[in-house]
Amino acid sequence: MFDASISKSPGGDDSARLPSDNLRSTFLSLPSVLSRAKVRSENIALAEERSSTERAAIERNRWHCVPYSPANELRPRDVEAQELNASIAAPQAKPFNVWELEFRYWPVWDVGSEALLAFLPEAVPAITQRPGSLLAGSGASRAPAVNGADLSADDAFELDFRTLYDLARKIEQLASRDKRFPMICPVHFETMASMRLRQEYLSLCSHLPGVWRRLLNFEVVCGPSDVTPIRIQSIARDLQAYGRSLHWRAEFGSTSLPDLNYTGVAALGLRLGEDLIDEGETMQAMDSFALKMKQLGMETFVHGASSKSLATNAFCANFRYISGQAIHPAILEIESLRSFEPLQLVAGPRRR
Amino acid sequence: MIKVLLIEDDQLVRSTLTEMLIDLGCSVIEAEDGSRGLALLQSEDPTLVITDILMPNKEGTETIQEIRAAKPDLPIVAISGGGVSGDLTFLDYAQRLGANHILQKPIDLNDLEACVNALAINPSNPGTSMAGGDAPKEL
Repeated sequence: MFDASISKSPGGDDSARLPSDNLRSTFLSLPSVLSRAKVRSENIALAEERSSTERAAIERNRWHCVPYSPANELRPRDVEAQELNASIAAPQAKPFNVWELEFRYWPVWDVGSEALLAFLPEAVPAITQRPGSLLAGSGASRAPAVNGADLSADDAFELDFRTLYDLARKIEQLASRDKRFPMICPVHFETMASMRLRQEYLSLCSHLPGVWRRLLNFEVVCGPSDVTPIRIQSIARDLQAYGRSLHWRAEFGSTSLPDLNYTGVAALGLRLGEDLIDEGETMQAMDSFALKMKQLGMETFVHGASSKSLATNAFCANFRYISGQAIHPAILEIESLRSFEPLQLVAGPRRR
Repeated sequence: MIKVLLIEDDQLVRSTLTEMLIDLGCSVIEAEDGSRGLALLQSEDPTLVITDILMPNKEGTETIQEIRAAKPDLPIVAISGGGVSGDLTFLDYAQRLGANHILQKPIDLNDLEACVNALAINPSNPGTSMAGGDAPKEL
């Protein structure tokens, strides 16, 4: 669960214990990450040489789908090596440049404490103002998000790595101003399903100082609905060592939900995408999901509540954590936590 | 004749309420959500609006605010069952945001009749809660 009580420890300055070295260089000094970044830059160089027609084709193929399959989970090293070589030879399979992303943050409403209590990052392509210059502009708060679904395991890992890096940097920036806010760290199921990628991700997490780990709530995303409780338990056990809690994002509209009892998952929730079916059906699906979770005694969350109808419905359906445009627009800079009462949902910001 | 604009997304509730209102001598225009209701508000010029709270495509409190902005004197009745949680907070909010009356589902025919008559006879009626509970606090 999120904890509103996170604050400066009594009698001491936690920021003094934060690492002064740059996290990016720390991360990049890891051999596996470094080699990955090298492959990535080679791919970008290759792609640059291609004609515009080919680039358009590359663009169309960006989000190629490599669905999760238990058979793919533990692949022999030589198979992985072949895949790595193939990926170098076929750069069109690569969906994004990991360093050309920026992040906007969605304030998450904790209904129980009536506060915008945590922040959920969302990757968006960086806005290029001029060749070679990446600039975070106001447009980033409205740009379409990077679609994290249907990524290959390696691409999912890269997105997760980049997200973790940005989160860590944000926490570091805030800590330097003596501010600490809970953060939700999305991590793809694909990353955690591959033992190789899981170990890489966890090794990145191990570089995070303890004080940061108390701020992180991991949220496993894009997981299949038929995942076994043992697998969830294993993921939860590994991630909980580096964060406060683990949430699980279920596939919206799925008729079956993973059995999360006794797995260590604190909350199960949904993300309402931009390509929603009509709002009436969405609200019905939210209601039945919430009812099921109530029977299981699980906390619930919903992201992407874009309209007042959806947000109000989420509130009345007893979702514990709600985020989306109807609650608060995405922000590029986190400044403060804010109280948020149900009335503000329908009547707008509180009058002072 | 009292012309009622009934905004309710649940088809079963809508048809039941329509029958009840016709029995009370009203004519009824039905809308399945707030957006459709607001469109009909302009074209049909009703004498009374009854609106649900939890609805897709513009929920009830939002609809009430827009009706209030467009037609400040039009009587509005908000109805709700409170959704999955049974939380009736939004009926209170609806009243604060401009509804003259609130009714909690399931709606009793006598309550509906009293409400419609009160508003039809005296549209300036400041309104009462039929959902029980404390009077709404000043914002």
